[in-house]
Amino acid sequence: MKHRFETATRGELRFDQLISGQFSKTERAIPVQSLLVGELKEEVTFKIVDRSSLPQLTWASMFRKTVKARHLLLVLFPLFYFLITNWNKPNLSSLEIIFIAAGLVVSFFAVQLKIDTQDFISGYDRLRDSKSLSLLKTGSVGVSEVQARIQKLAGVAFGFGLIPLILEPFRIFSLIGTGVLFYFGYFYGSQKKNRFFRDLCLSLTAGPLLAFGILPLVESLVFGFVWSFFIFFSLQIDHFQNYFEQTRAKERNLITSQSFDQSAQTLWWVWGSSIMAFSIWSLFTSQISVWLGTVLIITYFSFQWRKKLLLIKSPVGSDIEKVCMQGHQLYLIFLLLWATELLFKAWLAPLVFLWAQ
Amino acid sequence: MSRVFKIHNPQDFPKYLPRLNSLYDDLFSGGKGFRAQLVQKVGSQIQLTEKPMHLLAQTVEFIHNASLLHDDLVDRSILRRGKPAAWTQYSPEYAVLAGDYLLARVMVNLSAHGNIRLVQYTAEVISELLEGEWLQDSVIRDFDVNLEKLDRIHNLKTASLFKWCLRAPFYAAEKSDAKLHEILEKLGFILGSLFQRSDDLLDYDIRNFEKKAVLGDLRAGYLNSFAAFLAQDLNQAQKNQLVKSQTLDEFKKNVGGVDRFDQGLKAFDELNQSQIELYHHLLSVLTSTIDKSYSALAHQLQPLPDLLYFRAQK
Repeated sequence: MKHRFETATRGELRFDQLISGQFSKTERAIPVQSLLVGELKEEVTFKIVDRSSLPQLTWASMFRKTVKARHLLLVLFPLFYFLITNWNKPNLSSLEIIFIAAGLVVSFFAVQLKIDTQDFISGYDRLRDSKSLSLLKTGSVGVSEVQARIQKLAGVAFGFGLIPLILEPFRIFSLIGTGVLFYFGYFYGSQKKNRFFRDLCLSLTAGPLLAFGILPLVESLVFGFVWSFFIFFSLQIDHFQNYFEQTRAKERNLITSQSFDQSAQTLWWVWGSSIMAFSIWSLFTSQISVWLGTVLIITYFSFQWRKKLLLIKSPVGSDIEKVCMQGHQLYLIFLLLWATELLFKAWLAPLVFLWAQ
Repeated sequence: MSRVFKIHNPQDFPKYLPRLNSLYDDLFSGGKGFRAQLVQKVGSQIQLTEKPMHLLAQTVEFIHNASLLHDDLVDRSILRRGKPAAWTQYSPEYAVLAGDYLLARVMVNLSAHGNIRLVQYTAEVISELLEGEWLQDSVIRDFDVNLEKLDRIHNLKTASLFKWCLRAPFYAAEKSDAKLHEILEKLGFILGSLFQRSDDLLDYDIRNFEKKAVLGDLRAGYLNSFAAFLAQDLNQAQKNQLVKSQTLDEFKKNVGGVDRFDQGLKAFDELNQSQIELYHHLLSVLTSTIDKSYSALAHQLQPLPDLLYFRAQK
């Protein structure tokens, strides 16, 4: 691949042209090295490559490379929960469910792209020297193109969201709360370089507020609060996986504020607290035999995972990635168990009850 | 070359400490003193006077040799520069103390010079070097480690001293412009990374003109950068087989044959060639945006990446 290098300083017109990708119709600029990263006079060296040498991105490939399935589950599982627990009640119409689901997926995609774009422009992704390469960092797509797509996605998400809002105006409280928490969590948290507050706000946004947005009832808030533990865990396991990069970049969050060995213990306690929160809540909403089965199985797998977690030797070795992957699998096993429990309660238990009679 | 820097002042190695002088005589002889030469290359271009230049050259050799004393013991390497390693010839205790003593002398001599920014920067580099050693030890017998992770270790363990060689003369000359130091930092990183990768290639008998022993890293349970690069496309079973290789021929066979090995080397060279291009671009930035008077320095630094990586073959 033929290329050349060009260096520009933030604040110059050339820098804006290169970072936004608007300097040429046939070439693309990929940042390869930064000087004074995170400062006003950041100087970035771009590798200028021919656009034709880069793969063309479709909406589908863009979605696949931006949105991780396990992250999408964080916003879709609550919808599944309310769908199953209300299937025979008039609380949620199928029209609402379809539009909420579509709105969630599209807005989640747009938010992920927006975060990637902001991190790219501000230099945050260069500061972290992150190994997870966003589409922008690899040069697969330019900033202006992503921004145009974000606008389209926001329009579509708004369209999808409008119908559930008209059908149930109480949902406006969820939107207002989300806006407030997003503002404080994202912008305030980014400025302070301490991500703990941001993680907390995100967990509450995607927990109680999202749950209330799907089904505006007080019970939804309780479910959402339990769910926020798992969102918080998902954020912390990502921090743990990037422990070395984040500590070197002096980024502070619950995990990086501790030594490496202690951070593994903390991650375990975050997961343990999530399971504890689920167990207490589920005790009041499930049948005791089903509850016991779910809790026993997940406790067994959790302790299996704990053994491996506490044996990780190095923040730069391969173990950390393997164990984090197993952590994600554990979280998926848990969701599967929970989903099975919900399906059993909703459909199988009434059938068994009818058959017994 | 290094021997020149052994004595900075008579207090460096007191005669009353038994075996200390002979240990250092053995240690300092045989080294190429490349880092000291690099310091001199940079220092002479910015008109650094002889006294601070000598101090800096001596400092980098002290730090480097202290790291070798400790490194050999940590890795249980029995040879250093073709001779028995200090910990085998004297004792592990003496090797540790001698390394500590060198680092202490660095601080004594530098602080006497009176440039606090230079002292602080040197202390930071020593700390980074030790972090790199620590992290490297944490990936021993980790045969799934990837090149990116190893780069992070090498940035601390190897590149930190190269960065020091480029930046310290400027601090000594009271030139601490942030942008200048960032460019020198990046140049140092590339040089250190290329040096490490070239050194890792020796372990697989590539451009091994000095005929150093092969497969030493792998036998010590360490998958170096070249091996990690070759292993990235192998499945777990193939990787398990690869790390058991006892000879170079066996290694090549396990990696998929001689052709596959050669293709891997070509791809590895291309990867590093792009780093060399970036290095040259940064040198042009140094002269075009920092100060045109640095063009002579840039000219001096120009051949280094090829020299370090291709071992002067190009």
